[in-house]
Amino acid sequence: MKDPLLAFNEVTFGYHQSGNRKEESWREGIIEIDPEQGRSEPAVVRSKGSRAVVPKTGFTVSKSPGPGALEQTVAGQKRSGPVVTSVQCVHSRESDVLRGLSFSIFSGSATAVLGPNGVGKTTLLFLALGWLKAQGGEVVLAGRPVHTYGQSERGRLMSLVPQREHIPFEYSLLEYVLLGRAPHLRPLEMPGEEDRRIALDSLKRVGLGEKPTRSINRLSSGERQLLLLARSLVQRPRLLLLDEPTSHLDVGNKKRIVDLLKGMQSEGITLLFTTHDPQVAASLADQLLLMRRGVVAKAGAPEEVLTTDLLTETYGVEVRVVKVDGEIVILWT
Amino acid sequence: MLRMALLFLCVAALSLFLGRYPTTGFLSPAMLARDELARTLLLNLRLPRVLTAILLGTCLGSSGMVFQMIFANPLVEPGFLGVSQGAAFGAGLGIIFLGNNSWLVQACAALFAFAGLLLSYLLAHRIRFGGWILRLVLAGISISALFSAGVGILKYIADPLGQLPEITFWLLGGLWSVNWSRVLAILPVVLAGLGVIFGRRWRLNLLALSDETVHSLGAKPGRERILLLAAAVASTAAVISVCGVVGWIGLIVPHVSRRLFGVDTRFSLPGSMLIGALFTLLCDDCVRVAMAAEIPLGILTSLIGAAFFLVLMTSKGMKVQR
Repeated sequence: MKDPLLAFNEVTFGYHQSGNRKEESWREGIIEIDPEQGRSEPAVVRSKGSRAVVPKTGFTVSKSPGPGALEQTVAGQKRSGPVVTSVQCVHSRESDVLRGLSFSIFSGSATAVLGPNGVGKTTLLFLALGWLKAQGGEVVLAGRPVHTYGQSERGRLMSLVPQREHIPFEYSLLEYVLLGRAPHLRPLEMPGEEDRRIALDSLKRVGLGEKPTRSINRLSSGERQLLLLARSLVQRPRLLLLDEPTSHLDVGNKKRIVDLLKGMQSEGITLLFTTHDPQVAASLADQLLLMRRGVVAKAGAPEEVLTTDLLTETYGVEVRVVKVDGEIVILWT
Repeated sequence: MLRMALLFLCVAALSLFLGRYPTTGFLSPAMLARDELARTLLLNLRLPRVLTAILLGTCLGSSGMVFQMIFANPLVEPGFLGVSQGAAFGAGLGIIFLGNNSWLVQACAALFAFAGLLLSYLLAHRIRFGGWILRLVLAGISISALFSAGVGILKYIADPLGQLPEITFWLLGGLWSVNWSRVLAILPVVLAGLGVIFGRRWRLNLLALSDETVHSLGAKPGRERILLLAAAVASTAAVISVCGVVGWIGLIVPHVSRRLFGVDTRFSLPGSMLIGALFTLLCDDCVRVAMAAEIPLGILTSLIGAAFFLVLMTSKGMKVQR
């Protein structure tokens, strides 16, 4: 099996104001106990203070559990119990956004990240981009941890289409899109004719090729989204990260963006995008990640993830998933 | 741009021949050939003064552009991070406590300009809320306020006959005290700062975008911003140390340049440098030719600058997004 283009391995991350993470105790984990001496299935433990009680045994796991005997103190007497054979311990805090998130995406695929507001979807993109650094676990891009890449090298590999971009000055479409050539230019280099041609091509590609010198302030919000996409395209990325690319767009613009992204995927660009729109996810993605409480609750093809039970449980409201002409439609009552 | 550059060269050349010797107005080349004093005057007084005016305008114009781009705000200027007020405080200290030695005053002003920046930067790190830009702005405003209170105290305790006028003149800015040794002293720092800014003029565009976008475009937002800010502050501090606080150029000139050359800093930054130099030269020509008792340059730049700014901000084509 080929290596994934991007992999998250047990990634934890939290927006903590202060505090030293090294002093943090582990919060939760999975331990396996030698079946001959104790349980036959792994136990999920949650720490309380510096210890955690292993369910149904009465034995406790110490602050940093490792393979070894479990301990129990009865009436002041210490007593050893069954042996722990393996430990997967997640160091996280209650306030962590991501708690041991793991998934992989492969070249040429399109992956949608779904989940309620505040579940950490944008954080996930920022971690993939290397803008935020995982506090536990690792983000691996094309075989190397993402933070070991040089700035421009990473800029040529992947690009981000933010949900919204505040552009404080009134650039022309061409001037703005040209900024995407930055990772291909040396610090003192100016964009040349070739860069200009690439920028014009990419504007044409998204349908903004007419009058490239007009001001970006004249664009509608749908056209602005297309402009952000055009800027990312001139980076010539292998991996395109998109933060809710179709939010605030009408049906026509939504369709246009989805079609454009499908076209890019067919040219070999790998897509990772967050969305609140299961319809968009179903029509574009071949892998869906449904996030809940900082972990992937379910990953798989759209049909496996977009089910009545899973969505109802994730969003906390009654929804119904039906199929109309083979397309998945989500109804709420 | 070419026309602007030609205009600038003409004005710079003419400025050398403008003055109040032997009569108010123009010094003819024939006169220059005859008169030894006129030649000395031109080479040792007017030439360094014109050169300093050019450096001052170029620095303030380009630094203003750098500040406005980095803070993604068209209403900031180089004095923003406690730099001007720091320099003013330093100069005041020098005038009162270091015996009004012009070199010491200069050094003290430059030192405190940097202290202003450094304090603003350190304070911004310790502020516990808001994004980097908001914190830096808040820190800059508070440090400026502290220094300006300090300047107030210095003015209060200054000797009203000797020191106070000196401080006041310094705060109003002017080029009357310029000579070759002073110009040559600041030249390396100014040229280095301007070189860094000019070399990175296209990349400056990136720094007006959000941090994560800058990062995704293969740049280090924090590091690149600090580099350009340091270059802008170093060159500004150097010219302020010689010329005093000359206001409004850093704020107005970038606006004019964007109007004329477009928003892309690849063109608007050199434009800002040219216009800054041109505007300062013209203002300085006015102050030294118009009246026998030279009025401080800062007064004229503020007067014209503020009037121009009002017209610019209220005119129809002006668009400020925020």
